[in-house]
Amino acid sequence: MLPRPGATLRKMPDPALLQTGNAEVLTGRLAEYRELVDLLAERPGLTVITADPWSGTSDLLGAAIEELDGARVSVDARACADSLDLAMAIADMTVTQLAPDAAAWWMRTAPPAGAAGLRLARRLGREGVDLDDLRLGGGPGERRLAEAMELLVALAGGDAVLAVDHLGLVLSALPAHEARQLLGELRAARRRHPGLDLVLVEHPDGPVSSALADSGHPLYRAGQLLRFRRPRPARFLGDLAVTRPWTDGPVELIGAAAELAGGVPALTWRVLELAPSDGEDDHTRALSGWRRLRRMTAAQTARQWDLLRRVHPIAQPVVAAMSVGLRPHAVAANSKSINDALSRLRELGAAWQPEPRRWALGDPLLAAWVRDHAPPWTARRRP
Amino acid sequence: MLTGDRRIGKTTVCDAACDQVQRDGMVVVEIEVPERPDASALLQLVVDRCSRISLAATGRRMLRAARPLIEKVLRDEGIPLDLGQLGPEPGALPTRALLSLPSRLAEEAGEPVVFFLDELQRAVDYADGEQVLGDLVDLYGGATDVVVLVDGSKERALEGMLGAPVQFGKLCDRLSLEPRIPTYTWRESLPGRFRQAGLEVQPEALEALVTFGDGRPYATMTAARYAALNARKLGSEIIGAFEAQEGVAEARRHLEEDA
Repeated sequence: MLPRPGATLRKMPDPALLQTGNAEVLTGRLAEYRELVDLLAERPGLTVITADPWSGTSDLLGAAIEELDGARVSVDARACADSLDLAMAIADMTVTQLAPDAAAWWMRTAPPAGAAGLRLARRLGREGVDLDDLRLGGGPGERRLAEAMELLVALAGGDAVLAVDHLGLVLSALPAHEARQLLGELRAARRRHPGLDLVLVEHPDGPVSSALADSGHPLYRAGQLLRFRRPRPARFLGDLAVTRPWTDGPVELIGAAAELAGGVPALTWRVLELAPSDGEDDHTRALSGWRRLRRMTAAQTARQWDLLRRVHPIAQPVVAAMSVGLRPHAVAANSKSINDALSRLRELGAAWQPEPRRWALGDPLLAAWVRDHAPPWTARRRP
Repeated sequence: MLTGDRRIGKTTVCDAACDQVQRDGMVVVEIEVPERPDASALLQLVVDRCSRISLAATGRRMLRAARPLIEKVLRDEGIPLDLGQLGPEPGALPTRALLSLPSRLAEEAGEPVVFFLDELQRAVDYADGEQVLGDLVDLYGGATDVVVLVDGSKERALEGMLGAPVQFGKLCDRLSLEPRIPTYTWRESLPGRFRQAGLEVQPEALEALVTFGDGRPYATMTAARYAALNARKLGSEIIGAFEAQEGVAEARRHLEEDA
């Protein structure tokens, strides 16, 4: 589909971006941000973003969506277990953002006959949108999902952008046929409402991007695929040429923090915050910040390690191998089990592939913690 | 019944036809047949769409009473608006009564209704698919007040529908959509499409896009979209040879990844 006739969304010109920029979101991700804003402004219909874990894509998407004119709703699907949850999350966010005066009525924290609620119900009733089941969460999820889209389009007046972040997590946890039905419903909603643009975010090789290339799937070639990788630490220094006015952090310190944080934008800026304000040199200060961050998160990271036991029977050994630089297949288990564990860890964002045939842990803090607490067998196999 | 490979524009053609007849005053009941184990979701969509048509056509006197009509028909048959109340067994659904709702709309409107079922071949895999398809043939095989428009892409499933026991051929004439649109048609129409998007395409750029697409709708439109995006990124309203060349390169990568 070509850019929609006369429907290009307004976006701020670059000079305006420079004034409103956010160093934390954009440094290391400037090219991806511009690509995303350019694409979304053209109203491509369906955009699928596959993003490496901890790559800062959620913040980037939020910033890009904010840059666009018109109705837009963002939903974090991590809170959703199935299509019914997703439908309710979309409906809740839609009412909160597009009809805020009715939000308390919608969430049942205001009187049932409140004026704002009545107005909303009457308005949507005229357009044939029945709210009760959607509001209360009853009945089949796919039908409620269709209604949530109707609600969004009705409140937006026809044109809207809906971003669903972390959708891959929901789809991966569903039985295959239910995931397919959910995607089929999203595709059908897109067809019914040409003014509705969807942005779906998932992990690399997730179910949505696979569906785009599967000729038997309802979503086959139905949208545009964007691949966002975790930035290499050097990208932070390169992007600072543009984002420098928005941060007073020393360039060398930011670069060193990005190296320690493995290119994870969120951790890079936390290291920067925790780095002592004075000290020998920027590298030493960054290292102090990194150590503080590790101390502060050590208890949660240890729990993360414990919880891996329930992810997969050999998740812990696989994670331990990766943390000390061994290949996952160095674990004493059959290949199929190891592949299953890797697949599960990737779905959860705990593992990722920086390049083909190489695996790494998603969370640098977990990697560092496990290195310090590695099971004894790893010491005998380290490369 | 419009058939052909996926992503060659069957639904676009059907949508355009439906838009045209809607402008001429006909009513269109459009449903994308869902992938489900049985027909309950499809039948619910028939109820929902028919019920909503009156609201979509509020200004049109002939259909002002459509929603009460649908509710009345369902009430007379003892069918709730929410079919989930009938229980989970596929056999419990009054399939024929529900599939006849477009016909009731046509009676009320005094105009033919187009009943557009997108990807109907999915119904072949329903547990009660044979019954649904058979009912469609029985209800609309000799009818003149409802035009059933179907598109589908899975050749084997479509063949199954046309043969015994469903005999869908009694209901629909089969039209096969060519997978390629002649290049002269692209040369004539693509500049207009770019103009709608606020862009001018230069002759050599147009030629590059059309040559790359070789008549294939998806490939041509993918290259055109990337060329348009390139022009926008460069702040230009003109698609020249450079934008087209880069657009073609990006489209080629895109198609290779798909493959």
